[in-house]
Amino acid sequence: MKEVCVFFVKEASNNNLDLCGKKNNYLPENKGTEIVDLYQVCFENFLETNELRPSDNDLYIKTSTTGCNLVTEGEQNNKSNLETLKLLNNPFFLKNIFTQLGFNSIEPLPIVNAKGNTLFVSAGVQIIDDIIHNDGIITEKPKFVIQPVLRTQYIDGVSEGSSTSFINISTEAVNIDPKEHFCFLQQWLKIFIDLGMEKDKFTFKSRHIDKTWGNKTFNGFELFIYYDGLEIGDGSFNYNVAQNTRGDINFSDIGFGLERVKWILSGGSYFDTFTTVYKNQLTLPSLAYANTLSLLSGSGLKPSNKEYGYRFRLFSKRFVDEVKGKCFELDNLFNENYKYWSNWTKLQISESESLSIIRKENSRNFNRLLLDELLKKFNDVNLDINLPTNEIIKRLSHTSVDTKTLEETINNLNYKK
Amino acid sequence: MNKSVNTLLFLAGGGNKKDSLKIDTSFVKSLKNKKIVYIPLALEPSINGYESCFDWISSTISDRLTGEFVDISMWTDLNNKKESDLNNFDAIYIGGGNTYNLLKKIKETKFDQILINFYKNGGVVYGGSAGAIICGYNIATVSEENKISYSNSHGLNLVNDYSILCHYTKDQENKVFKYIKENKMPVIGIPEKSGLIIKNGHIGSVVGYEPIYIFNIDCSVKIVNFDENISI
Repeated sequence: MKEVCVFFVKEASNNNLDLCGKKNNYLPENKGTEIVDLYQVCFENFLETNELRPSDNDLYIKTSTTGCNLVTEGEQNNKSNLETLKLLNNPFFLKNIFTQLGFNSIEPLPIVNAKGNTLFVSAGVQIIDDIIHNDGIITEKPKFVIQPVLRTQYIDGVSEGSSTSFINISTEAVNIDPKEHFCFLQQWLKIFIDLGMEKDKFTFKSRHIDKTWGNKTFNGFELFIYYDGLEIGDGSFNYNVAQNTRGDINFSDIGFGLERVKWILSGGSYFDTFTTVYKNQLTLPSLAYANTLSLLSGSGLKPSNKEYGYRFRLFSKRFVDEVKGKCFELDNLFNENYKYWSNWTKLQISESESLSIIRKENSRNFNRLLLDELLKKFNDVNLDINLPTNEIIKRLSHTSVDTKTLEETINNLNYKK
Repeated sequence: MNKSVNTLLFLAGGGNKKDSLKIDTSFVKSLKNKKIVYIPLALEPSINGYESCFDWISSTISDRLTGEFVDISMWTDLNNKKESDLNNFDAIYIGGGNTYNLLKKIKETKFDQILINFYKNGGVVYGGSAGAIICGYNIATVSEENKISYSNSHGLNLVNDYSILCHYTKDQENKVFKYIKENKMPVIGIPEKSGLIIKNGHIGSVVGYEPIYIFNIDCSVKIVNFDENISI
């Protein structure tokens, strides 16, 4: 891996001022047709450089592709990949590479997005939210960010490779030439290949679409990036982005899921990239929800029925629905998840505080689960779910619920007194 | 329709959160287990995917609650969905956006029949704007939205052969008459500040702050005030 870094240092020193050996020849007039033409030329060059050819539906594959499917079970990949994983788990590794390439490495946004147009940060591109929506200052240097993100839209679709929160590594640049956009993309590819990924296994799919972001609508080219058939990221070049007090701008947004990249390099389960305890003992959704709960809790969020807190409550409820009474025995899982996030972002509260809030909310949701179950047979069990679970159980003995049914229900829900 | 099953359909005119307060509140009260599926597919995903849609639905629904929690699932891909996937849900909430895009996505994934069966088996359905229009007989009441040249404009027909026009204002009367002349089918015009709740397929209750408009095939118009009932 040392050589990888040396390579990029050389690359950076050669292109210190203009990143890719080309002066910024972005057209201030920002005419859509010129951008489109220029993009097409750059895209064709990119395809040619990488020996890509179109197959069907705009899918670009290597002329010599010999693909094979990702291994999702069994032993982890070879030793050199494990060394690479160690590097990727060090936040300074990628930061240093991109800094040496001329990018401004910036701190991630807090997951709770107080200023943006979504409640939570769900993509690295949101670091330029202020530029896009409030005519914020455009800096010359492109940006690199390692951004924890929340994707509630995947809550019902958790599976290998797909979770409800993850690390989005991305580069963002405003008012650049399409040529620079493809240059950045080429740099990403070089990094991945030098990390051990095989060039022949990359494929790309492109499309040109109208896009929206908050109250903005604009045009954009999207290039989806696949490795061995698995989408690992995308690079979009967006233009005709109207501004309030200045002319239209464009921006490049290239982002990847860090855990997916690590998964490709490690083999095994995608969820092994952030959780090692209770491996094979819990469902994939429960692992995803626990990790997301740790991020939300560590970020200082409190559960409630509305707005930001609604999301906390939802993930806790889903977690408890999955693991039931076992939720009281999984402190190590939440502690490991807390440590995972704290490696990438500055969490707002301590590990023990975070765990305490999660435990309390999980207990509340377990109480609801228990009482809902008993409500099917008994109508006098409307107790306050905010009470501690052992207190709920104690009070149930003063209702019409008989001891045998209560014991059976508690056992069925895997609760250990 | 199976006569022993009670059905419940909510059609909202497409206004903002304040406009739909009454119909939303009735909808949330109708949820026995407080568990719904939200379908935002009338909208195209933004640069953040459908995250802002989830923000919107959770805010809209939770603002109607006092001390209760609604578990919301958002389905952004209807491919391979089965009727049994809806077993644990009280309701399907179909959001607004482009009516033709929505109907196309629902029909191409064959989710239309799943949705109809869910409704006929007692599941609650809420349609807002485009979501309400597709519940009608034909979505050609908003033919100007057909930017994708979609040829199949037949809706889910959950409202006794009526077609629906949301965001209805008086100046759209001629547009409705034109539709009736061409299709020989009746229309219900629902303004943004209004909504219609239909129980068991034919008992309509107008909720909101403005009347709704029933256009018959002879082009006669019946105005039904809010808090009034009507047989559909």
